[in-house]
Amino acid sequence: MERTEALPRWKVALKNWYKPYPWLELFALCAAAIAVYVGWLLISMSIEAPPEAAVSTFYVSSWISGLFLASLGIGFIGTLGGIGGGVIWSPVAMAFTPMDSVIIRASGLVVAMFNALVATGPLARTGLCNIRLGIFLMIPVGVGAFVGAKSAIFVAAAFGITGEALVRMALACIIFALFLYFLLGGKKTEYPDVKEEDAFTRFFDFRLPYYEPSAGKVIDYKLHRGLLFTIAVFFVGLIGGFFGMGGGWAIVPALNVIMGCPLKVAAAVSMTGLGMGSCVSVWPYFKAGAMIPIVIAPLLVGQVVGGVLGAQVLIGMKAAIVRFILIGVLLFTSFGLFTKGLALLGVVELPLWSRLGFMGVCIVLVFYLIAKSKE
Amino acid sequence: MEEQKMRIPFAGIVIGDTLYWVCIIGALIALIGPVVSLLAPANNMADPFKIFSLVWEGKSSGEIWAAAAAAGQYPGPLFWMQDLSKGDAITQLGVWLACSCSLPAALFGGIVYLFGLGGARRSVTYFIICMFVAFMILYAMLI
Repeated sequence: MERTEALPRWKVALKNWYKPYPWLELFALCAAAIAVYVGWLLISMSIEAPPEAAVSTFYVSSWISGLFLASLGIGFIGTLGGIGGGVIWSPVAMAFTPMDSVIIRASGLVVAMFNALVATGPLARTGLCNIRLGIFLMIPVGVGAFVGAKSAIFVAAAFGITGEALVRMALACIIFALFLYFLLGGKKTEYPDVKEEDAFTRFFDFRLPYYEPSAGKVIDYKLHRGLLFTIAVFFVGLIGGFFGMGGGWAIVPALNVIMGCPLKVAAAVSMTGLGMGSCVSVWPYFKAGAMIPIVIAPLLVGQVVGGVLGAQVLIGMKAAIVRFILIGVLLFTSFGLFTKGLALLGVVELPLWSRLGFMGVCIVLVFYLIAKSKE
Repeated sequence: MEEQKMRIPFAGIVIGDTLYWVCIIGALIALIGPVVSLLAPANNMADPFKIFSLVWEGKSSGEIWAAAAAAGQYPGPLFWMQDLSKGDAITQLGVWLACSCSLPAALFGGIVYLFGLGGARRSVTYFIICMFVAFMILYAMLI
């Protein structure tokens, strides 16, 4: 038993490949993904497209494989950073691709929800995920996200290019605020000290003790300010649904700071509430035709594989490095979004060298933060 | 010893496992669909070659479906029911299944809370919450 625990994670995986939860399905998914996205890509070089097609089979296959790889990377990093993938995908795609913003936001919800949904199963089995809190959380997040998604489709239809520009600039401001939040750290504490539950929180009976292996004991925590938390996460859901970026970046701190939820429990509950909440907000996009299957499928598969892989790698990984990379990505993305919004409005279009220069500044900042953390 | 004393809530296991497996099955189906689409380009609701060109030109979803779909418009989220032999219908089934995974999870969770299955504590409050969640998803799917 002890020998098995001492093995590196990849050796444990190889030794137990036939056991479900998670190895069997993880290997099956990875094998199928490699066969389709690498194998098919190679085969597609020799397959001719129909004469009327404007592009080759290899071109389309390359985009499908590219979207899968991008989603896999985002799902992996999003899981390691505990923030989901929507906060990376939607802003980056809006800033640096010509894709329509409604399609980006629809795909952003897919990117935000699926690594959270696949993580819920294993987390619930450990008892770390407080399922009562997760199910309850889905109500304000789901209602907010549904209203946000409906509003996004309305704004896109009513305001055209100006709306596209304003959405990008508003998102730039939110991303910049997130950059500041991740840079400065926030006021999160691992085990907040809650003296007494209030009537609202007591009524819903949110308390659920769990076993904490690192402390070697059962943690029995109290929660409070449930009503304030419900109102706060409604607005998080609204923003997440509107911009297609989920809300993991805000729900974990809200659970921890407002309700006094232990940090690890907050991260697990956030996954359940967000994943299930996004199942509501994704439908307005689905019904509007913004979920184009051949574009969405590789993103979905990338998130599922990236989420399961990321959850396994997370065990032995230093999450601080991921946070610094994320800080750099957020700063560069907020700049890209804001300048793209200005360009769409016809105010100013920045030359390529200025973007590359700003990217250099962001890279220097990431290396500086990593070096400072080592000191 | 303390770890052994802890009972993992059965409703959590039911909800978590439903989400996990439905997502994985949906992902596996969504993996196959695009390959079928490209192997038989004529056997699709919408031309996959046109779709990618139009997406990267920045066209809206309405314009993309109008130009690429055989029907000249978006056939709706349930178009996979019309002909499951089509490549994009298989893909849509996988995406649709994965996006609906919370509905069975909430329903099964509600049943566990109502009847106290698997040694779970009965809770009418959480049964109602689970049913409300299921209703929200169903409402979003239908309206």
